[in-house]
Amino acid sequence: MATHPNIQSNLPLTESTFFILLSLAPSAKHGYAIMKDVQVLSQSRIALSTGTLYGALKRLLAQDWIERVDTPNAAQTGRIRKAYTLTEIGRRILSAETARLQSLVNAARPHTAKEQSG
Amino acid sequence: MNAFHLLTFGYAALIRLYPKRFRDEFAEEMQAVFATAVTEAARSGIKSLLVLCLRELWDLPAALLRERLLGTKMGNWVSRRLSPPVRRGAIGFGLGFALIEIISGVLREMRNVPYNFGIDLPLALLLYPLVGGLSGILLCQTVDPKKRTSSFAFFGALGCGLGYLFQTLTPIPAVPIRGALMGGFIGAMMGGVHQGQKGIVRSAVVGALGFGLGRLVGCFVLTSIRFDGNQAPMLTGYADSSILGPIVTGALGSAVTGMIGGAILGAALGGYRAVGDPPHAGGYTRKRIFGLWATVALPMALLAWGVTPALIPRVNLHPTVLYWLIITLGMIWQLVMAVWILRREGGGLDWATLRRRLWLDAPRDPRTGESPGRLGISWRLVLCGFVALLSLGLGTLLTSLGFLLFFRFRLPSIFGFLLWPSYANLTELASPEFAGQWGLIVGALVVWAMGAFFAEEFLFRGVLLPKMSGAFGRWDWVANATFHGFYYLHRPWMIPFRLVNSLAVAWPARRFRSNRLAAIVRVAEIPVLLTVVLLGVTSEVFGPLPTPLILPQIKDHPAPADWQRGAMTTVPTYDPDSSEIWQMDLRSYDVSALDLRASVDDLLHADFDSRTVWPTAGRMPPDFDRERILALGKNPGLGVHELHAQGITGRGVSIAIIDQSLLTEHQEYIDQLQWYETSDGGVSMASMHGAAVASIAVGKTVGVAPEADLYYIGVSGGLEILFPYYHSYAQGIRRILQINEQLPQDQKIRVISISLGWSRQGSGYYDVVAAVEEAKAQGILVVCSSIEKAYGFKFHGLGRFPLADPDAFGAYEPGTWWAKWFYDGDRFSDRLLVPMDSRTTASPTGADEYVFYRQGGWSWAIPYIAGVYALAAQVDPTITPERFWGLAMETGRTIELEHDGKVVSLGPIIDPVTLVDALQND
Repeated sequence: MATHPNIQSNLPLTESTFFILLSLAPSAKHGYAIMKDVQVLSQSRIALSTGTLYGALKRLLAQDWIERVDTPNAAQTGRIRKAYTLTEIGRRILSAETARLQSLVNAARPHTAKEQSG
Repeated sequence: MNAFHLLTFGYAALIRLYPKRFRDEFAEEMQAVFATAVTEAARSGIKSLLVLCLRELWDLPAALLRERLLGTKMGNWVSRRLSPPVRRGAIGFGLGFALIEIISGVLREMRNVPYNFGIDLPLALLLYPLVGGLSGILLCQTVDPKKRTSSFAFFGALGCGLGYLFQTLTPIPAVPIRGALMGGFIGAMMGGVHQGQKGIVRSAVVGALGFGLGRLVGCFVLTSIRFDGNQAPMLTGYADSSILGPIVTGALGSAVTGMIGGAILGAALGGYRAVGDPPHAGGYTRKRIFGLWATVALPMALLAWGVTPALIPRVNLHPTVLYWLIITLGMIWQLVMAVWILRREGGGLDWATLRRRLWLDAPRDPRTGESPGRLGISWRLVLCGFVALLSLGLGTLLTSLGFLLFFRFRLPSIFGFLLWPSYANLTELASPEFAGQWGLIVGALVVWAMGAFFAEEFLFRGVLLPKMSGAFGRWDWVANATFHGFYYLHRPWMIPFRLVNSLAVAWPARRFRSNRLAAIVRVAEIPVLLTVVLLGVTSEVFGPLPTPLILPQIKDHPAPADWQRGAMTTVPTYDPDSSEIWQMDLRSYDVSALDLRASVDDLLHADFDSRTVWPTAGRMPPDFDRERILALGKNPGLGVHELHAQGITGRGVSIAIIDQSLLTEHQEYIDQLQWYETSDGGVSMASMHGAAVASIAVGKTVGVAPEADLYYIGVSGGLEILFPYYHSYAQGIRRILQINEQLPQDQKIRVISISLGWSRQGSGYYDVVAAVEEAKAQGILVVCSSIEKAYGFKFHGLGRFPLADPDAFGAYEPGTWWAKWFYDGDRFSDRLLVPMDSRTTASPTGADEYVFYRQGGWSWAIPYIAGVYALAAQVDPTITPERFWGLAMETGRTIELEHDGKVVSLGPIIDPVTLVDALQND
């Protein structure tokens, strides 16, 4: 649906969006796995409810940042389990956001180091 | 069904609340994920399961809202603002407060306790801390990176519990202030745990503002859906007499309070983590500016609302003069503060430094820095000056509009305490009490100059404005005007005026780096002040009463009115759906050139008089019998003529009327008129009002008590054009009492008729209320539009078709101006109903001329009641106002009317004959 001529214009991401994208970075995951992963990645600061999770997934799908894929074990279990994975755009946005956060940390480090030593 | 099935079943039901498209895409998946989550959580224990379910429930409303509104402009706006702390604050407190209301309401219902009894203290002290604690936990998850859940729970509970306790114990009745008090405690506790000492004050302020605003909006919403039309006891709560059930109303009101307060507090707590104060470039910090404002504004409020009322009974000075003197002390304090600040800045107090520091130099071009000419005039400046002057008018308009809305939405019931006390009303200086005291003008000017230049302009524009850009950037002028506007805590009704005016002068002051324009505009306020004071100083007062009293004494003879209306060229029409009065006003018009044959329905709604020149019979509708209409209108009706025939005519009883100028020579009452006097030396022309009220009360053929004596005090009505002015009426009542002292026992004045009501906004309100009390103390009934406030009596005026028999009770109907509301359902049976519409009265145009008023107002009903009281006093000289009203209500007749196929009751209609019978047989 949506196109993204400028990655930067989509930044910064909300924490929830960032962690959802981050959790999908290594491999495709289904809803429950994303929920668990976000909790672990955020060190339990963010616990998504199903409503919040699927609301976010819906928007990410609409923005083409993620897409649906067949789950690897769907055939074995016989259950319908949709999984989600990052699209190319999603991956680029995640990288851009990570770089942005990294630059913030880099900028802050010398000052906070000075404060701590002084 | 086990717990797992129950939960997944419930979850499936909740998912139905999402939009269909969303459900089609995700419902199945969501249910599967939820089922897995439940299974996993159950393995970790009941606590995890509970947390999971609670999380789903808390997030549900926002998720639903987002999905339902997503894509719409409003949806995006809302979702951007619904940050997690805002959401959780709103849901925690909103839902919590509503639940408290529901629980306590249900318990009350079960025990049959009346609604406004309030929640039991022990129950409240259990539930409020619970809500506070849970909301604290919710907020903690989103605002506190350290997740100190137990601390947030404890302090949230403490804040909410203490807040409830203090709001219950406070003697302040205004609901929003009680809400603010509670919010202050909640905010202080949450802010304290979140940010330590620093957070206590600001979160307390935010909490107070949030919950105060929430309570106000709650009250406002629920007041506006009230249906009974009475001024509500909103001081005590939301629920009483709302169209919704008391529990639902209470829950709704509490939910609104909690949602707004919680959202604002949540937003603030969430914001503190990331946002700090902006840097301050040289000027004052926000904290310092706010502190300065508080240092000057709060003492002024204390002086006006605390010190002045405490001193009024102890100091022998006119309350308004005392108020201005005390306020001057506050202004001197401001001057001292301003000088102290300048000294501390160390720039010296010499004139050159002060000119620079206070922006007292001529305006400079913002680009070149040059002064635009010797006189400092440029077209931009002239335009700014014009706008600033305009702002005085706009500010006044806004203040008036504010008052209109204030009353339209019945806010006095919540904010009545903000209405000005009489002593703080500048127009009180227009009282006749100050007649001849020319020194007052000098005093008023000195006090005004002190306040305008040496206090307000000096501090706000001179000291503060040049130092505000650091804290407020390019919006410093808006901040300056806001601080200046809200400095008026001592006269809150002036806040809109000062705010608008201050905006208009602060902008040019900042742009041209000069406060001269602000000073000039301030001077433009002088004429208003002078007008008000001059009105008082030059007002006329009654001279000493001659002894002995020689009657009759007619001290003025206003000339007959001549409206010179000329010929009417188009046929007027009557629109029954319009509430406009005088639609068919033919009084003194020459309508002889018109063909009115087809206008019978319109003519039956016409007002006309002896001077109306009619077309020839051939061009008049045959069904419009104007002579008969005039004759029927003269009859006071309801059997009053029957009483006259028995000699019950008001003989030996005196009626006083205070009204506009009177045509003293009119044949209807010339023989009854014993006294006519005006306080202002009289006016040249007789009013329409005077002749009508006098003839309705004592007119020979028109009047209810045609042989009662009439004492009439004329009021010019001049000052009322400027503002509601009641001093003349107070003076009039006291003059009547003075006259009454000298009258022999068998000629005493028993009733005063004043066709006017008074509101607290008018000058002299307390004066006239006191005068009415003095009359009451002497056993005199004062019939006026404010009779309900004075005695608790209620009345209304009746309508009548002009050709219907005034003596037949069945001829009457609701008065024209209120019939629509009556038929729409606004019925009553606690008002004494008297004839009002379709009355023929004496006309001010000539001694033997008459006028027919198709539509009347309370003005015509009031002298009618006074007339019946005179009849009653003739029959039973010991009658009292209370006994009269009680008997009149008791003996009044209720009639049945048919309207739109329904039968409705109208009554009690005053029944003079039965009333007199009852008095005679008593």
